Amino acid sequence: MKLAGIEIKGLSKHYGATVALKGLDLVIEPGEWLTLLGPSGCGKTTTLRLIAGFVVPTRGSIMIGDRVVSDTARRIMVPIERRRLGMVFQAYAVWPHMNVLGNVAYPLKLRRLPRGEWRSRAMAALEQVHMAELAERYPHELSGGQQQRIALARALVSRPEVLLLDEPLSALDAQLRVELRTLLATLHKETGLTVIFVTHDQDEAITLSDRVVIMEGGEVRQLGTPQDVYYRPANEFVARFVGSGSVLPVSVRDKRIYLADVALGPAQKSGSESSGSILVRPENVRVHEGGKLPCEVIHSWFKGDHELVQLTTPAGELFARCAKRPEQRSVRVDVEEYVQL
Amino acid sequence: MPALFVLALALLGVLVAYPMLALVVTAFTHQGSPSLHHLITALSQSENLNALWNSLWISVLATAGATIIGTALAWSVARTDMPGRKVLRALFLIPFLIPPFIYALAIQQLLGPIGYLNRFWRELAGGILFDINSAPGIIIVLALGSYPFAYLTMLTAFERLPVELEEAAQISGASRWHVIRTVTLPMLAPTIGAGAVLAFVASISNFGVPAILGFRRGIQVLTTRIYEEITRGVDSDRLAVAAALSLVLGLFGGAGILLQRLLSGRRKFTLISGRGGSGDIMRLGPFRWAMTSFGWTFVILTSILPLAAILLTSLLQAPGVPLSLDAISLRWFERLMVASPRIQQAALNSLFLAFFAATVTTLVGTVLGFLIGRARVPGAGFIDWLATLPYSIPGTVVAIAMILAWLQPIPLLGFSIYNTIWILLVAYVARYLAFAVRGSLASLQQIGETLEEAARISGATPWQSTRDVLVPLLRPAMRSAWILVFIPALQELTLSALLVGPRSQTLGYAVFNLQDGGLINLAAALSVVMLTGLGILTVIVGPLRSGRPGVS
Repeated sequence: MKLAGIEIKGLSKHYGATVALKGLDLVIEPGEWLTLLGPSGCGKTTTLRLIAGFVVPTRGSIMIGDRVVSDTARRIMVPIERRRLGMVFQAYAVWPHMNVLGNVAYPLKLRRLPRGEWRSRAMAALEQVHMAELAERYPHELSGGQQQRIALARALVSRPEVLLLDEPLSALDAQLRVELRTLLATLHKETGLTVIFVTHDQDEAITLSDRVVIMEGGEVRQLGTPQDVYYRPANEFVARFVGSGSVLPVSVRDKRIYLADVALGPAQKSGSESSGSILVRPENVRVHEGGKLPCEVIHSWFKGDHELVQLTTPAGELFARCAKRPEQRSVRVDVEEYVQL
Repeated sequence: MPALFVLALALLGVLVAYPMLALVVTAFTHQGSPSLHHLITALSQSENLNALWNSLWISVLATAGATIIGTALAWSVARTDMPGRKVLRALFLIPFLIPPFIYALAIQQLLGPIGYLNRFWRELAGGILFDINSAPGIIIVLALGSYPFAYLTMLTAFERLPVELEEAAQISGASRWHVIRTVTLPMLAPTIGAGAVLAFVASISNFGVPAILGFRRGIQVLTTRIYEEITRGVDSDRLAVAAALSLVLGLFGGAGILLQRLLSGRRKFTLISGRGGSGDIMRLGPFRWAMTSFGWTFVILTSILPLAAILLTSLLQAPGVPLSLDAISLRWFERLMVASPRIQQAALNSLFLAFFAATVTTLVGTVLGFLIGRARVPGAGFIDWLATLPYSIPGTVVAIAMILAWLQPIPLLGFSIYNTIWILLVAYVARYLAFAVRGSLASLQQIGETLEEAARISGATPWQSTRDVLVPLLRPAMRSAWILVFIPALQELTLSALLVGPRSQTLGYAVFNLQDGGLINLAAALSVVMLTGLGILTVIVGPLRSGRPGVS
């Protein structure tokens, strides 16, 4: 299978006065799993639909492999069906009037493959998603998870260069979501396909991706590996959006950071500002008697293997991950690690 | 595909826009210049004013009756523990399945001058019980014929009314009566209003009932007045007056539909489907048996007795003969089968018209639905409005528009379709187009666009995606649209009466014509045949026959 990357230059989409996407530049490596993450209305779905060809860009160009599929300057707009893509939709979009095999074989029939060949290739795709024994069933006889597997087999059967996933896990309940997530990761490893994955679920984004694009208001707020966006958020938006953590206001004096007048450690930015904010992850907050920062316990949430303790400090709310529920209302904590924003 | 779109739009223009325009232009033109002359002439004649006044007060009273009956019946089956309410729920709909003019004919057999109940009463007490051939008679038959509109809308409302809203009021400390007054009724008010509007439009648009019950007593309403004007001749003066009267009639019918859309728009806002149903069933205690007897008495009096009466008439030798076994025969049915070439021709005509009207409307309506709901062409809202217009206004208005549009020879072709079966086909298609457009729109709403997008991304061209995904998924909607047109077209009277030609009689018109000519038994026999056929058809395709526009 040929691997194709994607190159997006200056891509914009306006709906009247509303700007859905503002001048996106993005290079997706062949074989990469790239996730577009953000709240609803951030432009992630628009980006995916622009790549698929459902939406005509206002400005900019898109290259898939070595083919230009959209370019407003050169008036190129390759029709959807000739972009050689596979796509899985949030609401399955499995055709109710065709059986499972009919659904999966449809892309091959369109390519006028002989009966024997489309049959064997469709069955092979069904094997990949562990649905071969249900080939003669109709969609209404299947569960949501099974329908989404069919949709996945249909997306893969014509061996596309790029697989587009539009929130494929959102409509499933928790257990099926984990199952299908594993299947997607396995298939990505096996096929080496380029995958573009749209989600609003940061947990999915962090666990599945090679790189994550975090978007807000039609713009990219950060592009990086899951580790980058988790440990090194570029701004407060990313810090608040990815992982659970608290953003607190701090003051900066003599290149040291003070949280409510308690010195936490060295400043990480070489600016001359006297104030700023930091991100603190719950796992980096230690509750112990010798802690420097006095806090009040608001509530402690039982999480199974740990307690998530909600605290107030003079500077704002803070979460701490503890093994046990604190016994007193007043405790002392140390912030062991933080990210200056 | 573009060719198909253009064809559908062209047909919409020729079949709907042009006749409607012709009607408006004729009504407002006098000697080549814009004028209110015809409107003034029409409304200055006392017989027309009288008909307008009759139309209004008869329809208002019939609507009041229909709304009260429909709401009470819906409440009894949806919100009480009345025994046998499941069966009654369906039986209360019988009048909906009987064409109104046949219903009028049937009730006439009971309460006409020589009706069975009146004859019985005369022997018992002297005098007659009730004369159905009167304005009150027309009101009663119209109310009984149109209460199902109120019944159906209220049934849906009662069954879908979110019970939580009433429960929330009860928890807050409201008494049962207080809940009904402050929560239930205010929430149902728009629905009651919408049902009433439908009943009003049905009543004021009706031609068959006042024609059969009032014509010979000189009780005129707008629809019968226009009919009388047209049957006297189609010279340009009469046509202009008829056009003006049609506009007045259309104004009341159209205003009604506008009001209904407004009300049902509000209803959507208030009645978001909740858990519904099971909730607040009123325990009637010992009254439940009284209620059930009342329900059954209602069904017997309004459905079973009239149907039995028309069957009896069809079996009797002649009107008014004393009832005995000797008087029973099948001679009228025999006559239908062997000695009535004109009626047989009418049956063929009706089948032809219903079949082709259903086919053409389904095809054109589906394409128009696609243009409105999927392609979202510019002016989609106007296309939708135009396509549903001929069903929103009284049939009489549509018929007059058709006469005005097609009386003259068609340019290029050089002949006129007036007085032929083709003008009926054109009128039927225009009239019933709304069913197919609405059906296709509703169905397109349910077929998610991602289904087509999935086809496109799989490599299908727009045409292939339509052929392989959209059309197969629209097929059930097209089938039910076809039947929704076929059944009423088979029993159509209003358009047929105004557009009938020497060789284009239809079944509905044949019944009307026979009773008008005094051949009551033969009219009854033909009605029985029609009702049997419609009954069988409804049972066979029953599950498919749902969602009449304006009702659901």
